[in-house]
Amino acid sequence: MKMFIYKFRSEWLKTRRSAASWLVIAGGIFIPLIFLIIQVFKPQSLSTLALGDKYWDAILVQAWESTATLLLPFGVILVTTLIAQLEFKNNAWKQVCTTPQSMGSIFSFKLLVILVMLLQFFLIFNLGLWAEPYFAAWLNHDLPYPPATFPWMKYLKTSVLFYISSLPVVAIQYWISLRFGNFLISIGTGLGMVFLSLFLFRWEFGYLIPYTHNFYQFFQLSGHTSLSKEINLTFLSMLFFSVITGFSLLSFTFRNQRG
Amino acid sequence: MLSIETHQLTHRFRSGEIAVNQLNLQVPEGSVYGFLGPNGAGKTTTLRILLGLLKKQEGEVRILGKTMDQDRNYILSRIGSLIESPSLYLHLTALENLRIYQLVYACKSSRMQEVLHQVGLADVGSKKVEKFSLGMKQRLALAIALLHEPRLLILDEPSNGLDPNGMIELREMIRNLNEQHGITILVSSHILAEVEKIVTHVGVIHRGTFQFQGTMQELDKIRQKAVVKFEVSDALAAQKLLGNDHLTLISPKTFELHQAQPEEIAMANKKLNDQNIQVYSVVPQTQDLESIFLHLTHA
Repeated sequence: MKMFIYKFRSEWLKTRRSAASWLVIAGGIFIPLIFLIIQVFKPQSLSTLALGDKYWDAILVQAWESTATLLLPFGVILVTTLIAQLEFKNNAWKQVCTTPQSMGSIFSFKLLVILVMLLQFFLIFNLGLWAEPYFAAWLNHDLPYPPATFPWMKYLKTSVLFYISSLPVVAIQYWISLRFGNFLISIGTGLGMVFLSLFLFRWEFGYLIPYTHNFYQFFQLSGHTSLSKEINLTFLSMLFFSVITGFSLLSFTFRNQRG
Repeated sequence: MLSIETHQLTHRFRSGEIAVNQLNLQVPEGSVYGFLGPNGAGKTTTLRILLGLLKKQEGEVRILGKTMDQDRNYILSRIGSLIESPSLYLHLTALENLRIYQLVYACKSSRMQEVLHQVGLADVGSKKVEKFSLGMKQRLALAIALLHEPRLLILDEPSNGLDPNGMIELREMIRNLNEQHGITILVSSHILAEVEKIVTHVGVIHRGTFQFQGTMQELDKIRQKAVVKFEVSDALAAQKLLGNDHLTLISPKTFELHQAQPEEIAMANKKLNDQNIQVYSVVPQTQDLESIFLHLTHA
């Protein structure tokens, strides 16, 4: 257990002051900040406050609309790539691979850091959404406080579902980033797949493309189900994540050349 | 006892080109082993195989008496390495870089300051590495290699990019680590003059095979018998008399004897005197490692 904590701290330390760590914070507060600006300066454009009890539900859907389709996929692609590329960028693989730890351990702790960073994004995002109307009311005294209490469980459940549907993209991007030292290959492939998914999610087998999972998840949240009921998206995302991560681990472990 | 031992180590690139060919590397415990050769000779490939960065294809490798296949963690926890350019996280400070490895090696936190002090970076621990000069980066990389108090240090071209002062400091550091701390050091280089002064053992590799491997004393013997310059009254007559295949006429009054043992030199001198060819001087042509090396690799 002690070594587990040590190895995680070692890997986490590498993210300090890194572009990825700033991106997580910036990505997490982006939508709440946009809401805040709109509410403070153009309160009439946000009709949600008039919704009373349904205020938080409306905010949830509005917040996830742009987050699920663009912000989250782009963020996942960038953060995964940046973290996996830290060693390539700093020419450090040869040093890491000569430390007394298995290749599987190196692979797993780096992946764990990415998963925790993703968790960090969801935490900041939800806290931002919760705090935003209070900040708005503090800045603009004409604005009322939200009429209903914050539905923590609903927000938590939604975040868990989006977290899981992001996992296959993490796995694919992680594999690409470790396999190819070039930052652009990973970013290019990821962004290309996200744009392609904007069209592919309408295809009847679109769910087989992991990059579409966040879109489907959002449609389920907003009540526009576009996926057959027999398909369990959460299970599918976890299955994709497990299979791709397993393949990626084998590819990383049995590489002829390390570092 | 040998710290590193390879037997018939062979490595081919994908193109089929042989990078290392049946190499029998023997690094005695407690030695400073100079692994020498020109660029592309197979030094880095060999070191990468030793460290498990390249998969071994043919032959055997034993490090500290164990094999990488079976005791990878045992070996790597006792080796410090610096392969080519320094591997450092530039956005972090020197201490943060050390901390990353201190946690992985699970060694004492106090070691971070100790090694920084050891490499002369004690005052810049909280400075970001991106602001370091190449020499400072190289020293920090060495500090990382020393962090877990390794028994064996593998340094690949550690003086690359260092200024003359930096080279002298590095040399002193290597000597000190070996003498004061008993660390076995395998150091590769193509700048021969710099390792000549610190190594106890030498291996000269060219096109993947050893041209020479032995102690510095053994190398000195080759050096001593290498070339002796004679200044005589009649070099042509001397050549006829000695009839030596290893004799090269330089001028009417000078010639050189190659590959001559001390006894052969004395004998040549006596023969010349006996035939009334006056010998004005017999001067051993001091050869640094560079010329020995060139001789060996071009043989």
